[in-house]
Amino acid sequence: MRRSFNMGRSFMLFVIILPIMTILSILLYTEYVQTKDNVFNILQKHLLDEKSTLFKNYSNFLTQRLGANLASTIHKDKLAYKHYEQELSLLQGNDIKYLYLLYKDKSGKFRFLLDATKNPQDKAFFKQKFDPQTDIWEKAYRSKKPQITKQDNLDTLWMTIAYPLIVDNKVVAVLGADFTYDVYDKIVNTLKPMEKIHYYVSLFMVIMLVVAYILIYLYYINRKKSFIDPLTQVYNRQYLYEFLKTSSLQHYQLMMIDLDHFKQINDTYGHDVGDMVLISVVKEIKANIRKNDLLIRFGGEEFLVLTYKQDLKGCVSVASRIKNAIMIHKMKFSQREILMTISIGINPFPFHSKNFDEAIKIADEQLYNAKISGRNCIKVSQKGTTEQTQSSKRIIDVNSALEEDRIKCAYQPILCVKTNKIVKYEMLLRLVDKNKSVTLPMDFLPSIRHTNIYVNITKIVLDNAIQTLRENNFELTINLDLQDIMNDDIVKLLSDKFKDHRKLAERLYIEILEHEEITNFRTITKHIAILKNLGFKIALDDFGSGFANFKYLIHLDIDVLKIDGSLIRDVHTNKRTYHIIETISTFAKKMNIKTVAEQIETKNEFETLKALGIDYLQGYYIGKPYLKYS
Amino acid sequence: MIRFIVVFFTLFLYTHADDKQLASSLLYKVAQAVTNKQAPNIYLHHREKIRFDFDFTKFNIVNNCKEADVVILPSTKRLQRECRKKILLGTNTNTLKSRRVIGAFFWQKGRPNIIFYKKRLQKKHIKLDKSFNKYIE
Repeated sequence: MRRSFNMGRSFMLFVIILPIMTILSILLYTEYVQTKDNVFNILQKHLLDEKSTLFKNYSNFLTQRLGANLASTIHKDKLAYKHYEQELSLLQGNDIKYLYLLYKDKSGKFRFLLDATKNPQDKAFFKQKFDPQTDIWEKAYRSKKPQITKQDNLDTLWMTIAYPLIVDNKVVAVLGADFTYDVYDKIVNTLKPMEKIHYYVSLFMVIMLVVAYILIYLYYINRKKSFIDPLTQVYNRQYLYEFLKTSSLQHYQLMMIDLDHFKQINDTYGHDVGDMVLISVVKEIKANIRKNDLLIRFGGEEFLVLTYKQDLKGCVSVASRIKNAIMIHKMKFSQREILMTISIGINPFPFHSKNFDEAIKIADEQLYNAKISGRNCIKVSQKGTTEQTQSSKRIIDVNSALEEDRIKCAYQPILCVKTNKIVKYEMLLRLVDKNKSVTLPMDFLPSIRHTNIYVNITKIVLDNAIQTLRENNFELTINLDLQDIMNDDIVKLLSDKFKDHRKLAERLYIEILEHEEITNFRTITKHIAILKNLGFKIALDDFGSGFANFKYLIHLDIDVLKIDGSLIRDVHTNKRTYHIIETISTFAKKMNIKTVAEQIETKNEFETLKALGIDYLQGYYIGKPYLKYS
Repeated sequence: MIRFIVVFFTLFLYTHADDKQLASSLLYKVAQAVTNKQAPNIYLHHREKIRFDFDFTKFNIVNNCKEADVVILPSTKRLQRECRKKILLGTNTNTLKSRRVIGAFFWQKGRPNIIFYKKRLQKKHIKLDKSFNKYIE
């Protein structure tokens, strides 16, 4: 299966921004060049308009004076010839480099009639043949209209105009004017530094882009290589952990495969044959799994298969297929025939394990069972099966409790030490069974966590909180799991419920519980910022035990620290506990974070914590949770 | 990659070919036409006086008229006897005044110009390709 590799957000951002910057710089450069061309075009038009008027006047003047026999008249009289050349030179300004009058002889060749050029090297002799480089002269003769051409092939000339002299609707001569680059050069030289900057920036960006893409490509290739086992060409363990960063095991079943007596193959035939056996076995496994399944070389002769969206029966069927295929597959190496068998251990519900290592452990235990059961067999973990059955049962119970309005909120009072008054309550979820016994959230929430029922229960808690806050002035605390805070749906739900109730949100504390260490601080920080923007206050539960530690305070914007109950229990007798809480209290005060001590059950605990400067106290000593606050 | 670099530089040189390259290339073609040789031996008479800066690096330049097929000259002054028998090609209009010079290639008004005289060509038994007809007077 072709799988993509996570390249990192900043890397991807770079990949997107760089081409945009390059395109922008090229656009800027082309826009600049376009503007420059427009300026030249305007200038050219202006120049041509001006000269056209001048040439028109001269043309009228000359044709009226000399008529249709213009060429022959000039030829006849050498004195007149000099005189007409002087007159022509009067038209020549700084911008015209060469100005001359041409006529067409009987053979159709153009010849100089007059030449206003002063430089003897450039001046044409009388009747000298003129070699036209372009067809504007012919066109001027035919069309009887002025013709213009840009002299792209010549270095010193910019453009040439051919202006026909017409008598009786017949062209008798053509006035030629070559314009110099002087004006053009002046403008170009003025604009050159600017153009160079644009050009080099664009060039630099293009080079950067090419280099960046080459680097990305090389990085991608190397990264891919690091995830592929060079011998078998399947993914390695490193890729597995990369895969788990972005994928959930919810839809996968876990299979551990081990080659039976592989060591003997290596010892008997050597490592080369051993390697070939591994390659051959991988080929067979690949042939018996689907594209969506993932095959990993986990260790030497140990493989791991994650089968996608199979039920238990389907997963066992895939395992049997692999086992049987390998069993009958004859591997021939240097005229030797080797038959291999494999043992497989299956964990059908890896998602129910605390973490992936535990899921592997379960599959590995089954693999071990398969090995001690004589090898060449499949063993399936029953742990997950039981849990799943129980879980399914629990989901039905919770769903019916939800429908029958047996999901309730209990309220436990929290005392403010400073005012010695109950200022807030912690809302605690309770499931009331049909026989009126109460089930605690820890006994039913895990089974419904990834279902829609969980979101519905959260809705009930939030509706209850809104109503309670509306009816009272005290503050409330609700508990949300770390996974809830990470969950976009739950954050959206909180936002939807409280977006029009900011005043109420400001009196609501969200206590974050966590069962695993935070690794993705980016998402959690982002979501906490969203919640705080809505007005909520954030409390960190069970501080001082488990995963909740000082590291979190560096990354998370916390308002309240709730010290873990296990630390409170013997605070008045245990010096170490006493000092830990004292340190937490001092630290929190410095950080401007309020502290709450929970699970206070005795007067001694109460007095000690009060003396330690804890801001709020909670526990049976202050008040038990009741379904109605009082 | 190497092919790309070669193509790139060829295009670069082509688009940046200046008047000097253009004139040199035309002069060489004229020399080829009048001698009817692919690589004519050329003698440059008064090379230092040739006004236009031609690029002669691709020409077969010889040191004396004896070996030359064609003599390119900016002036007919002090022309050695053995040179006079050769095909003389001027680089300006003044050289055309001498009847020994069959024609001239010169740069005037920023443009290349070629002039040949029919009688002078006939005298030297030179037959030019039809494409040169427009340059013959």
